[in-house]
Amino acid sequence: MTPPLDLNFTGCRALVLHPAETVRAELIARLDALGVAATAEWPDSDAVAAADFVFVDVDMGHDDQLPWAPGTAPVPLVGLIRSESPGRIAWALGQNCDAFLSQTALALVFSTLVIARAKATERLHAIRREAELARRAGLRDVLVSAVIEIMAAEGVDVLGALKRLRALAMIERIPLEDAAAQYLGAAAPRRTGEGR
Amino acid sequence: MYTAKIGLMFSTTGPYAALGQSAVDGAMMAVREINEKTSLRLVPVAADPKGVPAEYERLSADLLGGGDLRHIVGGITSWSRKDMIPVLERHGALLWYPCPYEGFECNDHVVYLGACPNQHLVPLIDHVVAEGRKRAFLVGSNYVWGWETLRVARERLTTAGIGISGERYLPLGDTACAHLMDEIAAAAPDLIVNSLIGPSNHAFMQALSRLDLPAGRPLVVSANQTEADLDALGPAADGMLAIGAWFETLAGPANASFRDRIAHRFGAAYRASCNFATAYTAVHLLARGLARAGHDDPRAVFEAMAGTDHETVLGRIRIDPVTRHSSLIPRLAMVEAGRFRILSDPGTALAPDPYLARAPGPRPLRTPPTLRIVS
Repeated sequence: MTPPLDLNFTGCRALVLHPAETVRAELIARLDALGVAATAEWPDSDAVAAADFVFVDVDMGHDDQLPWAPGTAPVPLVGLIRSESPGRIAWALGQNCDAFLSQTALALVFSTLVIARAKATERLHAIRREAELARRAGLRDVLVSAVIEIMAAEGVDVLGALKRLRALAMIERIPLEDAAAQYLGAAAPRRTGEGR
Repeated sequence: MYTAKIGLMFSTTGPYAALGQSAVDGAMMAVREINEKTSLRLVPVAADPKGVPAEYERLSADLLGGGDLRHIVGGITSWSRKDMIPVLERHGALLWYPCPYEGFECNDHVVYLGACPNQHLVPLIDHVVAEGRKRAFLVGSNYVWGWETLRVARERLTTAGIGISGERYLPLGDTACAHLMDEIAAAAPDLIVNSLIGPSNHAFMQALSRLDLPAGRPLVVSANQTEADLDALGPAADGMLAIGAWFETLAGPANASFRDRIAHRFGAAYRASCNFATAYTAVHLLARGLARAGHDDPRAVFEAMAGTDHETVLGRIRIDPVTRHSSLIPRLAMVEAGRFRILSDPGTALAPDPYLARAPGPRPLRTPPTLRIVS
């Protein structure tokens, strides 16, 4: 099911990383009208850690401004586009910008927030899902060990052992691999959390 | 004496001609007043798109193409406004838009003088929520006004605990609404939110007035009814609750004087509407901006006029320099015998909030707990 769109940003904080005072002032005013408290600085800012949205100038932006590995922004990231230099577009795509806003169309900031929030939610969900799948893939040996041990201890075949593990996983509401680790008494690597 | 050409882009023929004619009348009355009483001379250039969306784009390009006209007062539907915006952007021109609309837009080439949802639908819905309605039926015209106003109504009603028994849309101009009557009879709502415009609105209200419902007619509420609609609706509109920034029946000396001037110009039987009053206000505000700026550069005119209070026939209002929307006084009125009887007039203007960022959420209905003494 498609999650409902977030249409109200009252109380959110935004950081605008942009060198031009006119763009900064206009964006701050427009965000304020949407209930978003924005600060603007250049080239970098301590406020980035507390921001719910980060806007960055695509023309002048660089990786060192953003305290995360390229492409892994923990919050919605919006690229502010001025010129259309292919190299700069490539940089912005490498940062996985969730939305773009043309600097000639700052009036469209509301739709940009809606899109950025929706795409970032999807992107961060995919990152968490991939991390969880990788973690579970790393537990294959634990799963095999648990199956062998159940077969030996309870005199069942492979399917019977798996059935036993599935029942345990269902009762505990945990993945099969974690159920296997629990059966063996081994501490599985911690599951990835859902929050930021 | 400074002379400025202004465009008047209203459909005075076609499906919503009554609304367009009312706005043109208001705008022309303001032009005449300004030309008679000030050193500014406005030269109006009228264009009639006949309610055809593509014509708004073509005619605004014609008006602006000569380079000697940079302000247009006009547009009734949001569709028409959105069709004009690319042309306005290309020519650096300004549209003075005088109608209530669904919000969620802040274009740098528009001044929004009509109400946005926090000034129409939100106070209207909050009023009926406080009355304790239980079940609502939503009906609107099948374009952005209908979609967005009913989306806001649906969300606000649902949050307040009021069930939605149906939500239906009619194509613009469509008058076949027998199927809606069947649904309403079956669902038995005690509230209908009506965002239909033009002939669809008239056909729906006429059919509803003929519908025999055991529990009586549900309360119909609407944010887009004007005196122009009342003439077409007749007794079918009685009992409808409307919200607007201006009604002909508003009290006070300023409105009495305005009504007298309207009667003097158009005759005692003339019915002015919110579109009339807002288009009239738009021309006066444009004239103030032109006079203050001393030329017709749209940015200078807007900056000269925005951010300060203006005494107008709509009350004391102010155009927000960032959102470019006007503060307005939302007035509630009940239709009785073909006239709007004012139920509430807050007196002070409500700041615009076109993205509903600051509108307080609806209060959920509180059902008092049933208490029982146990021993």
